[in-house]
Amino acid sequence: MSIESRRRPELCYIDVGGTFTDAFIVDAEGEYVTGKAPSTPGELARGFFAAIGAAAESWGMTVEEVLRSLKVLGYGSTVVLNAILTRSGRTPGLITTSGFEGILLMERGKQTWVDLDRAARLHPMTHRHNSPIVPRRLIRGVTGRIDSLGREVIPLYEHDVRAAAEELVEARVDAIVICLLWSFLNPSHERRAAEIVRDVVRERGRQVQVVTSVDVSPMIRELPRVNTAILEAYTGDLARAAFQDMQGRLEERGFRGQLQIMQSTGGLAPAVYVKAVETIQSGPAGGVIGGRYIGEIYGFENLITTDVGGTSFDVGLVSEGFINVNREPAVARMLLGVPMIEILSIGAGGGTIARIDPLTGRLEIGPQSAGSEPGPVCYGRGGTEPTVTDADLVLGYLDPDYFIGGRIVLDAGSARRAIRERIAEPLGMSIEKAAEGIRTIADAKMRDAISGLIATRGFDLSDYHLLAFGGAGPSHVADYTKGLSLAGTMVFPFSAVFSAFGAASADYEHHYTRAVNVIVPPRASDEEKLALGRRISEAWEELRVRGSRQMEHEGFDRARIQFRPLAMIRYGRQLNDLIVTSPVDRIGSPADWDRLIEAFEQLYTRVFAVAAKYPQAGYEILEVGLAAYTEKIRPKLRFEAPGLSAPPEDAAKRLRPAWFEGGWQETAVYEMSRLRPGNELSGPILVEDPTTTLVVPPARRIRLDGYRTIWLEEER
Amino acid sequence: MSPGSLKDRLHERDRRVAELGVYEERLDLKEGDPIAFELLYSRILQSVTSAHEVARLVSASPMSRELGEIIFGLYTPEGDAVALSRGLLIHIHTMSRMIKWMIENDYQDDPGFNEGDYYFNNDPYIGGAHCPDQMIVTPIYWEGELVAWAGGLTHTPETGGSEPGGFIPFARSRFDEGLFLPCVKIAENDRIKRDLEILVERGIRSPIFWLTDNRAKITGTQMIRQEIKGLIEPFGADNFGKACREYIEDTRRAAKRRVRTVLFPGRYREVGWRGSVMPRQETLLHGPVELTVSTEGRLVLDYQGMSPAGRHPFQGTLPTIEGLVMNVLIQHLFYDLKHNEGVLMVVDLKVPEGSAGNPPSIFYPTALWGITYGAGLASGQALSRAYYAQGYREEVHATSALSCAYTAGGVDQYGRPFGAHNFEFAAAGLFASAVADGLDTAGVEFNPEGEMGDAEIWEQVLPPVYLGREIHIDGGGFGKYRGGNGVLSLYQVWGTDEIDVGGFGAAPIFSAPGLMGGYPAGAVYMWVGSRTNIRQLIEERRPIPAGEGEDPETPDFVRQVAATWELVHGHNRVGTPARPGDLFTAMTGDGGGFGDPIERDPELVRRDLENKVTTPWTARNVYCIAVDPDTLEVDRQETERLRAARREERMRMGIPAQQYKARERERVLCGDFPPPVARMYHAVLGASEVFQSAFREFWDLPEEWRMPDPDQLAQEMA
Amino acid sequence: MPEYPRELIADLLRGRLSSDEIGGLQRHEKDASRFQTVLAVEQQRLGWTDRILLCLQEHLYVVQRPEGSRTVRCECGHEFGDYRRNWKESALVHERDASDGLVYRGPRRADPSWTVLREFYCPGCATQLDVEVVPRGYPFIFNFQPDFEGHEGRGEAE
Repeated sequence: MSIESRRRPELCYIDVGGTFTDAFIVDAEGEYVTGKAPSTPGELARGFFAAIGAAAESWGMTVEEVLRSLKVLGYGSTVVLNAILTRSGRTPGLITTSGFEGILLMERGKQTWVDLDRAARLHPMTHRHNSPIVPRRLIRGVTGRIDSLGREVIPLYEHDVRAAAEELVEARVDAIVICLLWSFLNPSHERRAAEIVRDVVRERGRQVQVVTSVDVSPMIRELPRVNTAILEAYTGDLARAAFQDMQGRLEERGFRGQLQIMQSTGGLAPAVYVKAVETIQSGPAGGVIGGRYIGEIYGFENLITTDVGGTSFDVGLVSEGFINVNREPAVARMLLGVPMIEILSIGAGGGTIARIDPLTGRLEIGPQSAGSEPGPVCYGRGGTEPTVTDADLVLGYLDPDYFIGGRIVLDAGSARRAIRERIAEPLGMSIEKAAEGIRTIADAKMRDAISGLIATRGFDLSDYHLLAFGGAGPSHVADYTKGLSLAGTMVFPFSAVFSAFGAASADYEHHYTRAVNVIVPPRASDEEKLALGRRISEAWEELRVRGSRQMEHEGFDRARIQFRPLAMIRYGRQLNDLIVTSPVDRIGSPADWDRLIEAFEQLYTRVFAVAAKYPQAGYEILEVGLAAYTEKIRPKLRFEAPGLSAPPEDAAKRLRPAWFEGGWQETAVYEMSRLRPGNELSGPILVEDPTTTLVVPPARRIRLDGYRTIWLEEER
Repeated sequence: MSPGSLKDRLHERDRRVAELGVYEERLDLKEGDPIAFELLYSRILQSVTSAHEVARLVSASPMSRELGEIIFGLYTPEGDAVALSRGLLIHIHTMSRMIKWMIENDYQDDPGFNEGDYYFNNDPYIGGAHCPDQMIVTPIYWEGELVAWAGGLTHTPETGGSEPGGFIPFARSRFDEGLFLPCVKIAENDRIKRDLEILVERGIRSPIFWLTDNRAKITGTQMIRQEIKGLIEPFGADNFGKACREYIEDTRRAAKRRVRTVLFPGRYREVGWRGSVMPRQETLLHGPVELTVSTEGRLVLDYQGMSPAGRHPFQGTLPTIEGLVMNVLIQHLFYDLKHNEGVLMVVDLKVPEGSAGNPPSIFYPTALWGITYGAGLASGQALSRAYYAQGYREEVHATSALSCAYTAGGVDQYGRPFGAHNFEFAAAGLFASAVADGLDTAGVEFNPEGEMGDAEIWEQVLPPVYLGREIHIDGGGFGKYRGGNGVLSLYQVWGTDEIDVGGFGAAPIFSAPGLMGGYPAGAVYMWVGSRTNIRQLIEERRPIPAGEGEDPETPDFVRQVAATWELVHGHNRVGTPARPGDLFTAMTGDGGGFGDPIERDPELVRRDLENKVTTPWTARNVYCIAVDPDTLEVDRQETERLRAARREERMRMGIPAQQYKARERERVLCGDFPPPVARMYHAVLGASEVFQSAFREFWDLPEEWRMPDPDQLAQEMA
Repeated sequence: MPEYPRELIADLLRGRLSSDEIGGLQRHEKDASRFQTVLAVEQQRLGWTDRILLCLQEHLYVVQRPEGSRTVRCECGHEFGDYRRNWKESALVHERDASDGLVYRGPRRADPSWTVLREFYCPGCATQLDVEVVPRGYPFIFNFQPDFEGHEGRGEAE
C-alpha cells in the first residue's frame, strides 16, 4: 500500500465552468491535488466524478475512496441562476399592498435600462420592459398600511387576505409570495397575512409554499425586496431538488459527508439550509475568496482579483481583509435585495470580438464575444471575426500546438487573414500593428475596469496587490497592470483552477441583518448614547442567538463559532449607509458608542472626502448585521526556501519569435511547472503551462517566491 | 499653450470657431496614434463616470442617490465641455456657461481662481434651467497653470421659494423662486465655508438636501481633479490640452456625418403648447419650431413666433431651451458619440429675444420651464419626421410626457422642517414609436435613465403615505401604437399636523402630442379631498380606495370616500394647508400616440386589458375592437365591422379643408376666441412679424385686420 | 456600414419585427442603403407605375407623375396634389372638442377654451392621417417640406 493511499481527503470543492469542471481536493494536513474534466451540462454529477477521478489519481486513489473519506463536498451551483435566465421556475402568485399590484409592470422605470451600456442608456428607444415572472392576473392587493416609522396607518384587512389567498390557490399557483410596504421594519401585517394564507392552503389541502419578503430580504426598497422574494419562490423547489439529487448520486458512490453550496456572499452553507436566492452568484465567488485567503497567507489586507476567461474579465475586491459586497445587485434586469460579492464583469476576454465602427472609424473591442462556439477565428470552428485570442496568436504569444495542452490546434493563418482584412487594411496599418492595437484596447478596458472599481470606491491603488488568474489572465496581466501603481502583481502556477482553490478555502459563513431604525441627534448626550447603544446591542444579541442556533443545527461546535458585528451607518437623512464592522461586541458605555461612530467617520473619509463629512446632521443606523462563521481545514500552500535565481536547465524550452516593442524578437520560452522558488527571469520571455501562458514583456521581470507564486515586477 | 488671461483665450477661442467653423483644424494626435487617442478619452470619461457613481452616495437627496439626477463633466480652460458622465445630459453645456460667465466677468482677477476653490451657481440666467439646478465647478492646475475645470450638477428638491419644493407654480417674479447664489465661491483649500452653509441652513426648508448635494459635488469634482492630474503627468499639459480640443473637433465631425447619414434634408415644423394659469391672466403659450436639416449636415432650429415672456414661471432661460434641444439630439441622434461641445457646434438655435425662451431680464421666473419644454419636445417630433423620411422607422417617436408632481412643506414625521417634491415623474410614460407602444412608467425627456424611486424612499422624505401607486390607465395617447402610461398615485396626509400640499403641471391642455394620426396624451390633473371620512371607513373595515379605477368620470376614491373633492385641471395648485386624513392624487404625465388608432393590433389591446392598463370602454370606442371583457377573446368579424363603421363616421363628420377654413375664417375675422387663446394670439401676432404674415396669409386676412387685446376689450366693456 | 436584408426592412415597415430585432436595429449603426431599400420595398408592395420618391409619413408618399409633377398620394391612391403645398389643404377635417366624451373621459379632456383636436382624414380611405393639437383659429401646420435636390446632391454613401 503506497503512502498516497493513506491520505485522508476531507474537503473537495468542484468549480463548474462553461468548458471545464475543476476539482480541488484537500486532505487533513491541508495538502491538495487538482483535477480537470470536460463539463457535462445537464448531468453535472458525471463531470464531478470525472474531475474527482482525475485529481484522485495523483494520490493513487479511486473516486469511491475519496468520496468515502470526504467530510465536505462543496460546489458553486448555477441551478438558480439558470432557472432565472431561462425563465424555467415554478408559478408563484403575489399578495402585496393594495394599490401596488402594478409594481412588477412598472419596474420602477430603472429595470428598463439597468443592464445597458452608456450609448444604449442614453438612447431611450432601446429601453424595454421585462415580462414579469408573476403575471398581473396572479397578483392581489390587500388593504393595510405601515408607515416609515413602523406605525400602523391602516390595519390589515384580513378578509382581503383570505379572499386573495383563495383566488390564488384556485388559480393553482405553486407558491404565494407576500410583500407589504415597510414589512422589514414592522413585519406584523406580513406575518399575519402569511398565517391566513397558510390556513387557506391547509383548508384546501393544497401544497403551496408561502414566502414572506421580510424573511428573504429584510431591506428597505419594496421593488428589490419583492423581486427577491419572488425569485425564492420561483426557484426554491428546483434548488432543493437539485441539491438532494446531487447528494443522492454522491452517496451512491460512498459519500457520507455534507454537501455544501457556495453562497453569493462567499461562504459555504449546507445544501439543506441554503436559500435559493443566496446562491444566484454561487459560481464566480470562488476567485475572490481565494484572493482573500492568499491575502491571509501573505498578510495583505487589500487585494484585487482579476479573472480573464473566454468571454469576460471579472474583477473582485478585498479591502481591509473584507470582501466587497454589492447590496443592490441586478440580475437578469431585476433589482435584488440580497447581497452578493461585488464582481465587476466586462466583455473583454479571449473570445471578445474586435471591429471597426464605420461612423467614427474607431477600432472597438467587444462587448460581443465569439464565445467557445464558434470561438476565435484560429479555433477553425467557423469564427470569422477577429478576437483577442487571434491577436495573441498572431503576435506569437500563444503556441498553436500547445493551447490547452494541445487539445485545440490553432490556425494562425486564418487569424492573420481575419485581422488583415477586417482591421489592418481599413486602418491602413500592418497586421502586427493591428493585432497590437486589439490587445492594447482590450487590456486598457481591463485596466480601466480595475482603476474604475477602485476609484468608484474612493480607494487607493497603491494599497492593493493584484492577483491574475483564469485561462487568459497571465497572457494579459503585464499589459492590464501597466501604469497602475499597485503594491504588487501575483500570478499562480495553478491559475486555471484558482477559483476552485479559492472556494475550497472558504469558511462556513452566514449573514444576518435586522432593522433597528436608530436616529442619533447631533451632539447626542451620554444618556442618549447609552439608550441607543442598548437597542443596537440587543439587536446584535438577537442575531447572535439566531446565528449560533442555526450553525449548531448545521452541526458545528458552538465553541468554534465566531461573530462579526456590523452596523449600517450614515449621516442624518443620507440615503446611503456604509457597512461598519464594529470595534466593540456590545455598546455598554458612551465610549463604546464613540468608538463605533469613529469607525464610521474613518471609513466615510476614506471612501468619500473630508469635505463630505457632515456630523452636524447627526447619524442614522437603520440596520445592524452580524456575520457568523467558523473556520475549517484549508488547502496549504507548500513553502520551499527559495534557491538559485537561475532556472533549472529543463525549464527552458525553445526560442519562439514574438512581437514586442513594435518588432519581432526571438523570445525564450519556459515551462511554468519546472521553474523553482527563487528563480528570476527578465522579459521578454514566455512562460507556458498546458492551460495558460504568461507573457513577460521587456522591462518587466518575474520572480518565484517560496510558494512558487510568480511575482511580476518592473525591471530594476 | 496660448498665452494671456483666460478672458483673452476665451475670445481667441470664439474668434477661431466663428472664422473657421471648426474647433481644431488638425487632428494630429488622433491621426498620429488613434489608439492612444481613444485610450486617453476612455480614461477621461471614466474619471467623470466614477465621480457620478461615488458622489450620488454622499447625497441625502433621493434625486441624486436614487434617481441619478446628477452629472459631472470635464471642461477646457475656456469652459468648453470635453466629456460628461451619464445622468442629466440636459446640462451638457450648463456648466460651460457658468465658467464662461465667470471668465467674462473677470473672476480671474477678483475673487480669483485657485486650486481648491469651489464655485457654486444656481442662477438659471447664467447656467441651468431653474433655481433647483445647482452646479459646482473647481479649477484644475498643472505647474501653476489652469489646465481644465471639473464640474458637477444636481437638482435639489427644495430652494426656499415662496412655496415648498423648488417648483413654484405661481411665481410672479424670480424673487419668489428661492435662494440664488450666482457664481459664489463656497469653498477654499478644499474646505467648505461654514458661514455660507449657515446661510443655506437658515435660508431654506430642507437644507440637508442642498448641503449634502454640495458635498456630493465636491467629492466628485475632487475625484476628477485627482484623476486628471494623473493623466496629465505622462502626457504633459500641452498635449493634454491639444487632445481635449481634438475630442471636441472629433465629435463635431462625427455629429455632422451623422446628420448627413440618417436625416432627410428639408424643413420640418411642429408646435408645442403650454399655458400660464396665473389667475385672471390665463394665457396659452405658443412654442413653434422650424427645423431645417441642411444638406451639409447642420441643424437649424428656429423658434420664431414663441410667446413673449411674462410674469409667470411657465418659461425658461436660453440655457434651458439649449439644454432641452441638445438633450433631444443626444438621446435620439448622437447617443453613441463623445458628448461634448462638439455636438453643439452642428446646431444653430434661433430663440427670439424677449420670448418665453429668452426672457428680456433676469426678473422673469423660470421655475417650470413651461413653453421651452413644449418647444423642446416638439423639436424631437420634427427630428422623428426626418428619420421617417430617410427610412429609419425604428427611431421615429411621438412626444414624451409633460412632467408634473406634488410638492409639500411643513414639519415632517420626524418633527423636522421640510420642503420637497416627489420626483417619481422621472419615470413617466414614454412616447409611442413608429414600430412599438411607448413604455409605461419608464422615462422622461430630461434624463434618459428613467427611475421613479421606491415608495418606501419617498415616504422617508415626505410624510404623506401612498394608498396606491398605479399605472395611469389609458393615460398614453391612443394610436396604432399607444403612448406610454405614466404613474397615478393616491396619497393620504399622515404623520404631521403641519403640512402644505401643492402641485405643479401645466394648463388644462393636451399634454403630449401624437404623431402621424396618433392622439395626444390627455390633460393632466390632480384631485384633492379634504375633510374625508377615511377614519370611519377604516374603523368599519369598508373599502379604502387605491386609485382612480376604470372610470375616470367618477374615480374610485370619489365614489368610496366622502370628502370635499376639488379637481385641479392642469395639476397646478398653490401649496395649501392639509390635515391628516386628507387625500390627494398626483400624476406624472403620459406619452403621445402614433398612427391611426383603428389600425391597432387587437392583440396589443388584449394584452393591455390583461395588464389592466386599458379598459373595455376604450377598446370598443377608441380602437373599435370587440373583445369579451371576461375571456378577453377578440371577435375579429365584429371588430372589422366596428372599424368600417368608424371610417364611414369620419367621412360624415369630416368636412373638406377649404370649407372648414372658410368657416373658421369668420371666427378669426371677429377675433372670437376664449381669453387664454385670444391673449396668446394678441401677444404673438404683436411680437412676431413672421408669424403674423403667415397667419394673415393662411386666413387671407385684410391689411387692416388686427387681433384685439381681450383684456383691453374687457376694460372697455366695464 | 451594415447592409440589412430587404425582407428584414420589409418586416420593419409592416410591424412584423420582434422587440429584440427592433432593438438590434436601434443599437447597431445605421445602414446607409436604408432609404433606397425602403423605397424599393414600398414600390413593390404598392405596385404603382409612378416612381415613389419619398415616404412622407404614415400612408402618404411623394410620387413622380409621368408629366413630371411630384404629388402627395395616399396608400389608397387618393391624390393630394403638389408636395410643395400642405396636403392637409385637401384633406377632410374634423375639429374635435374633447368634451364630446367620445375619446377622452373625465378630467383627461383638455379644456376647449385652450386647445382642441384637429383630425385630418384621407378623403379616399378615411384613414386618420394627422391629429393636430391647436387652439381654435390656428393655421394648419405644414409639417414637412422635403429638399429633394439637396438629398440627391448629398449622396448616400456618407
